[in-house]
Amino acid sequence: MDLSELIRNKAFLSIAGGVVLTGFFGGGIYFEMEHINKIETEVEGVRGQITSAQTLVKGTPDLVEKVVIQRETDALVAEILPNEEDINNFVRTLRTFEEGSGVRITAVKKKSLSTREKKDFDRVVYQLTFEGDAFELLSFMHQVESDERFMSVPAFKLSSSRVEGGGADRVSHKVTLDVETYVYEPKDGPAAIKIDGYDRRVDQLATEIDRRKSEILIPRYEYLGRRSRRDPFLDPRTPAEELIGPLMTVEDQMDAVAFLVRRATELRDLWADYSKLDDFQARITASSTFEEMMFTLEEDIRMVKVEGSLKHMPAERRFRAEVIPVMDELRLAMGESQYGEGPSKKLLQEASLVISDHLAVGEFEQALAAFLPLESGLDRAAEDEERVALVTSLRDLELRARTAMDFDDLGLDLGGVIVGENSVALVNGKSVSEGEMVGPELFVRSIGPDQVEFIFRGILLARYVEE
Amino acid sequence: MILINLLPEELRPQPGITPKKAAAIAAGALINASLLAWWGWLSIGVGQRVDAELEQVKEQMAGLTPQVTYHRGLETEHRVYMSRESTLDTITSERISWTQKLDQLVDLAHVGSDSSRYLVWFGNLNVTQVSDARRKDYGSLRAEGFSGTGNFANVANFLEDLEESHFARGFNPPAPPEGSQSKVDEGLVPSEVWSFPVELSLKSPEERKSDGSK
Repeated sequence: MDLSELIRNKAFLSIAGGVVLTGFFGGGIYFEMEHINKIETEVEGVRGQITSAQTLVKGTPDLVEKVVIQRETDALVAEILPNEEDINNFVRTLRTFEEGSGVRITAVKKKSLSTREKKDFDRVVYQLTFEGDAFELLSFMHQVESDERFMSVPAFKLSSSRVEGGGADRVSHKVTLDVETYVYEPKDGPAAIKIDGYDRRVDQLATEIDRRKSEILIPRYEYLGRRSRRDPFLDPRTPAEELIGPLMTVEDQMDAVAFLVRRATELRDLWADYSKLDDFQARITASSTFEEMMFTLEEDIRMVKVEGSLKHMPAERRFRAEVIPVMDELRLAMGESQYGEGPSKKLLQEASLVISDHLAVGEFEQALAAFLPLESGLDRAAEDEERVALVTSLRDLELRARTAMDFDDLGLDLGGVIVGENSVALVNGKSVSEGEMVGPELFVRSIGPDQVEFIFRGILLARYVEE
Repeated sequence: MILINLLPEELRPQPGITPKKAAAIAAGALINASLLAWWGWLSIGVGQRVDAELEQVKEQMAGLTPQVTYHRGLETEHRVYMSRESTLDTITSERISWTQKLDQLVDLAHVGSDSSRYLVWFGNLNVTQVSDARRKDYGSLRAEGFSGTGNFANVANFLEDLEESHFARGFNPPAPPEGSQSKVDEGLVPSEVWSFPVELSLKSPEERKSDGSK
């Protein structure tokens, strides 16, 4: 069957048409499914991006906080690290340090660097050569290390001016010292992203910003100066000729100073204890011990100074460092506490109460005993307007105590009394009436059924009538 | 009787469709109709749905894009600051307060002479601070020490106090005591002097930090 016959065959045409249609539909379905799969894959991809973006965006508030803190602390970094202008002023700054410390700079040289360059931070090192003693070096170094701009000392060399004993007036160790700093010039930082409500956020994060700033701030060492210490780059030995003669040996000097140090320490402890005491009697006792010790120590210190017996440098330095300052400190503390200006107002008030209590129960001796320790300081206390009334009152109480004791010493014998219109008392075997003089400075004031009142040296005193 | 069809072949009536043929035609038609329906469902039902879905997620993504850009911008800024802070931390953590160290050394020499444990002074001092982690070299302090005594045990006393002092924090322990007697000078008291080296190597910045010294 040829092709023309096949075409004429309807059955064949029907079958062929059906197959073509099936193929067409199948192809359509295939391409549609491919398209759907592609779209679905794309959807999945975009969904993945959305999930990542959402996760990312969720962290934005935290990131904003971090950036706000960093921006604020970066400003501090810029304050700490010098800029080009500061470096240009470096030599002027060194001159200020030189004047402040007392060293004598003889050379300033900028070192050329090949490595260790940090991004945004340019390392700059100057090598300085100068002369001075150990404490001038310390003072200079302290100024360098505590300057508001960051500077550090990566290396230094010191050669002692003298290794062996001797006494030059001006100590000049030779010092070579490197001063390193980093110039902060941000180079390729991104443009700052605008953060909404930036100032408000800064306020909210103030605590965190301060904390971070304090972490960045470089701790500074507090150098307190020479403090009577010796230069450790000088030979501290004593020339032998200074020790010839009736002076103490090195060991004796060290022992003597150790003894003085011990006593000064003891005295300082005693003062500390005394300052804490509230009890009147205990304060009186402690103060008399303190004064006695203070006096003898002051005397010994004076002798050491006058005789000039401390020639051995360590002994002399220890004396100056551990005895003299303690005594100065004590005198200062005593001055502040009015110790040297007589008894304090509080002490006078306490004493007044104690003495009054003793007098009220007829304990005249105890009253006088309480008064006596204060007596020497009363004149000084009386110069103070605030305490003069108390001093007067105390002296009055003392007078009463003494008068009462003298009155007791009179040994008046009170035989009996007759109370009536003209009351009579039998004193020392003699009958006396009211207003009558019994002895020198002694009058009968009144006569009662159980007591007779006398005026003795102007003070009213009473004696009970014995049963 | 015999009937003879004289009509030409093409005009003769065709025989009827056989059941087999009818079944085949029906099956073919069914298949094609099903395929057409599937195609229609795919294009109109599923296809449009996924297109809409794609459109929706793209819109959602477009809404998030500015936030992502903002976040990325902040991240870049954060990274730059982090890098600067890290550099600054390195710079500051490597710093040692030599004022403090030298002050402590002065204290040590002074206290020792006052307590008569030793009378020590130095002829020189050489301090170098480096940062070579590969060779574990972080610098050193070297000094030529002198002890004013005939008793070498005083040098040991000094080195013992040195090792236990605040000054030694941040340094590796000193070498055991060694030294030699210098010339005797009768013009000075004490006349005998021992000279000894003081050599201390610096610990790494991390060890110094954990040591509590800067």
